[in-house]
Amino acid sequence: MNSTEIAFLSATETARAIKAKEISPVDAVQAYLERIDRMDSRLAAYITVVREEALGNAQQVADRLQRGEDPGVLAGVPIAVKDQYWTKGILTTNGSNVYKDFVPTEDSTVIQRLRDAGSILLGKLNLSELAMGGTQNPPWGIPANPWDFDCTPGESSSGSGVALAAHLCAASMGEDTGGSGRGPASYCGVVGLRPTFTRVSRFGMTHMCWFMDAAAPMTKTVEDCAVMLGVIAGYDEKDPYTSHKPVPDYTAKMRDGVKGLRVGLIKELHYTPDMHPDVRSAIEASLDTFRDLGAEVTEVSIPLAELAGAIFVGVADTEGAGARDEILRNQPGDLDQASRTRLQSAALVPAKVYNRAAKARVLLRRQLMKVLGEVDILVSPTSPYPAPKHTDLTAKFENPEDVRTRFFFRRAYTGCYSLTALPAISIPGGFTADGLPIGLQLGAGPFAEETLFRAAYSYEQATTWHTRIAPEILNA
Amino acid sequence: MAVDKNTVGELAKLAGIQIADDELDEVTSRFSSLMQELDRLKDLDLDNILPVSIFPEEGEV
Repeated sequence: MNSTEIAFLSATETARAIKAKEISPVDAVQAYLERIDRMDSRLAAYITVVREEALGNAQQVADRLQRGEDPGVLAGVPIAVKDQYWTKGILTTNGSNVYKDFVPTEDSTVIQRLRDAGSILLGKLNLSELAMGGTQNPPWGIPANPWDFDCTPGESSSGSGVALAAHLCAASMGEDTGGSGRGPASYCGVVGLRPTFTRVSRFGMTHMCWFMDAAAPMTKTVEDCAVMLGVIAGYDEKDPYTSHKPVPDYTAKMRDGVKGLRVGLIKELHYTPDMHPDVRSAIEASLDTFRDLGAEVTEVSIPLAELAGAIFVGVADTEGAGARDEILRNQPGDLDQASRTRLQSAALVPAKVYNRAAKARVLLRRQLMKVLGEVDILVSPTSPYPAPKHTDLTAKFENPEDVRTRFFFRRAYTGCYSLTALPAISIPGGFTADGLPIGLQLGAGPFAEETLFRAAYSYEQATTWHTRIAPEILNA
Repeated sequence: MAVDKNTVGELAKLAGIQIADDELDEVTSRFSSLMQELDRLKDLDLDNILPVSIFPEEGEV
């Protein structure tokens, strides 16, 4: 197997190839390092590459395998993580000049668990400043979407999406507050999961909004995502909000099919004039696929869904501004202009308005839970349109309607689940006529990740979207 | 809800943050848009709802 073939493997395929001694962990790490050297100057996926550490750790895993030991389910698999996760002794910038010299003295729990499972950390991935989105001049470069370098890869886990779509790592970790993992997954044509809120520890993950931040596995395939979640999920005494619920083998029921599963299209997120026609067609085609696979497809109504973007910003930005108070007071000049003005405006929101948004969040949860008593899986696009051009993303808003469409509306799609602590996954769901990926978002009830993986895997196996490689990457 | 620059300046003072003169227009515009969007929540019947930060693991809220 040559280095390109190794790099195009999924994480679980890599693990199997290593276990079968078809390739060594060092081969796998070298394959990705070579690609990073060759391609990342154009893509800006990585902030830090830990070359020597990665090669050293790969050799250690190889030695353990040689001795007949089992280093874990991700033994020798090269991964990279959003530069929001603390990594002991490794620069952790949070995408901001405020943290340009921050070197944590311990690993986040997610990183520790990924290391314990035998994975090899290649480096830290680019992101929007402070995991917020909207950064105009990212200090470590503007990440390029592998499907069209002029387009955004999504925010805020931009580097995580880019690194996967460009095959610069086998699997990655993003973070998802309001869609920061699922959005880039959608725009880059990969898989991104927001787990149930209390499923994965947030210890050592720099916070954007404490009551909504979630660790987000981002992967090339659904199976990889299920394996990653199995590794990182579970109670952690360092994060008191983590659940004590046992962690199942998320791959166990993944192949059970969707026959009899009840699938509901969210009307409020589908019948809207602002949706791109190719996205609408892709979602409708996905419903046909689910029908063909034996699922019962219906339409459901969540009236508050269309306001989820406003509710999300009202809660998350306001809390985020509170959490960043010291920076806003003492280091505003170190922030990107867009981050600064967004946080400053959120810092001015009156308490009664925040309280109203917090109550609306509970009402939204009630509406979702009611519908989830009628269906098992909710369907919508992850984003109502494909990846915008970089220039569109940073263009000034022209009027209130423009703000509503470009800022609030798209956040409703992913914000629904963030606000309500429910799990949702974005999987490749098609392509526009221009060749840009379309994300299909599936949502489920609390701790129903097994059902989510079952539906996602069935759809993935019935389609070929996840097997496509961006032309610029294929020929690079 | 229409908000002018003077109001934003006063609110910023109360919040203890300094907004640069050349960014006051943008912060005003952003804040105004945010308040306008959040105004849409006024029509919801939220009287009997208690806000929560973390949802319980089981059951309805």
